[in-house]
Amino acid sequence: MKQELLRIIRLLLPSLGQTIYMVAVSTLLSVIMGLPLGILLVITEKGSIWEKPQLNNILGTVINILRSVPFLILMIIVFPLSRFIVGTTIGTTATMIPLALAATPFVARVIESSLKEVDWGSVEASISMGATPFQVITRVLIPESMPSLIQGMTLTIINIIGYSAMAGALGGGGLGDLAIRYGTQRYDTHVLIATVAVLIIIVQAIQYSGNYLANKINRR
Amino acid sequence: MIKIENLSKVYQTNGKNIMALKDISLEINDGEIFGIMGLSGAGKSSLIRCINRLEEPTEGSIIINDRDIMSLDSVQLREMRKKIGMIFQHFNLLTSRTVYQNIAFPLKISGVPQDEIDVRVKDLLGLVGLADKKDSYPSKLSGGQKQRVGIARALAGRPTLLLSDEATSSLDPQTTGQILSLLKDINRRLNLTIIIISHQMEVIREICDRVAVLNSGEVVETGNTIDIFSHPSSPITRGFVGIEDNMPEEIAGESGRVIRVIFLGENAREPIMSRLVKSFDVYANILSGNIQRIHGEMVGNLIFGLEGSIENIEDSTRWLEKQGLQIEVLK
Repeated sequence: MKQELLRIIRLLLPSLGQTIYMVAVSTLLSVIMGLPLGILLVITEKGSIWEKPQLNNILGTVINILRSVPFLILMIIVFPLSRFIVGTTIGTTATMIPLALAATPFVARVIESSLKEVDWGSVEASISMGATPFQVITRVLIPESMPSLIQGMTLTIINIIGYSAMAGALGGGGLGDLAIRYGTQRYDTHVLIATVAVLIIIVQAIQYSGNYLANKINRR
Repeated sequence: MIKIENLSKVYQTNGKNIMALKDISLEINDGEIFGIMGLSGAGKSSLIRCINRLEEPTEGSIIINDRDIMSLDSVQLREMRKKIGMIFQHFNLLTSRTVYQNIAFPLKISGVPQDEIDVRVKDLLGLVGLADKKDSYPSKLSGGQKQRVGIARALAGRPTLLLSDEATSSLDPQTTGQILSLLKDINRRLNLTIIIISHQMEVIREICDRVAVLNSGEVVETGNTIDIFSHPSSPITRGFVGIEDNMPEEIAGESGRVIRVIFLGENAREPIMSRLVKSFDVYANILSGNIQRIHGEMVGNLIFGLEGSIENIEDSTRWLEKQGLQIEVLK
């Protein structure tokens, strides 16, 4: 019993490390790319602070197209890109490229909907005080929607965890990879159950912290 | 001085042109409280929002302190806006910031040094009577307190002009009164020009020196508040002031003569009705009436029927006219 437990833990720990690494870096990358896109979606809309209806249309369409591609297909499509950036298409680091790419349009939409929750009146008030569009973004739109943005990030991270498990199937490593190799290919039920349990705990913990943080800073 | 000349605003919705403001010309003097009154949809909001170009006028010019704001580029416009305060019906405070941070906001975005902001905000908190609420968030404040924060924030940049967009419309009558006296106090103390738009007749009546009445995007009347309210000439203004042009049934059914008298100022305190009845052998039957305070003056509006001999009725009507009252023979 004790030996079995140790065996499972020895298997799980490196995979857990890979998953955390993969998810953390791809979340960061997708926010870096998705945040400006989300902001652009909001401010270029008709009647907003930087009205550009055509740009808004193009952006919206591209994001929709990217979101319609199933993740597994997207992974294969971007293999050349992964090879170009990382030098290989297999392994945890290489998987981060498709993960970040798949999450970026999602992040953009999540941020768009959070920013749209901001009361237009407070935006207008800051314009009437002489705020520049940049100041409206950094001092009104983002701080006013912070609780909602945190909820959106929670959603994004959990989504990426899901994708990362899928990426495991294509040689990405991590918990998903472990579950497939041991759980389904070797019929090692213990490892399978342990992997799923760890994933459940991670998702719960992230959701809980996200809710806690969002509530804590909510002043509405 | 603020000069609005031939201002027009056209909205395009679904390919249709909607004329929100038609050829509006107004002059607003420094240091006065100017009211723009009208029903919803009359164009009041569009008009006040054109003054700081939150909305772009379609035609015309707006000259504030000898500068045509229509000719400003975006950088100059932002500088101009810092000298024009604005308060709103729904306050529009930043919910993620404290009272202090809300008032400091316009100073922060103008790059005022922190120690100066501290002094200024402290002053403003005192001015609006919210020193003890400095670290509260807006969600913990009452409507009246929120509007006080809005006023303090609008004054932070030491504006020469304050725009009030239905600032009391979502407040209860008592709080409205308090906010209005605060505005009046600020107007006197800082010699600040205030433009108020409101559909609430009481608001305009209470604090405005002069008023313009807006209807379907056009100015139908302009003048001193007391004159407009005591001698309203357009039907829309008469409606506002509470004068009904359609004769109610009880008046139409009256057998003798029906007269409307508007009492103004000192007259409103005179026992004119008693004198009338005593001096002439007539019976007076009061049909409707009210007394309002307009800009600190009393204005009475009384409709009554007179019965008696034709001669006596004629005499009493002439007597009433001689008393310097505004008389209207309705029937």
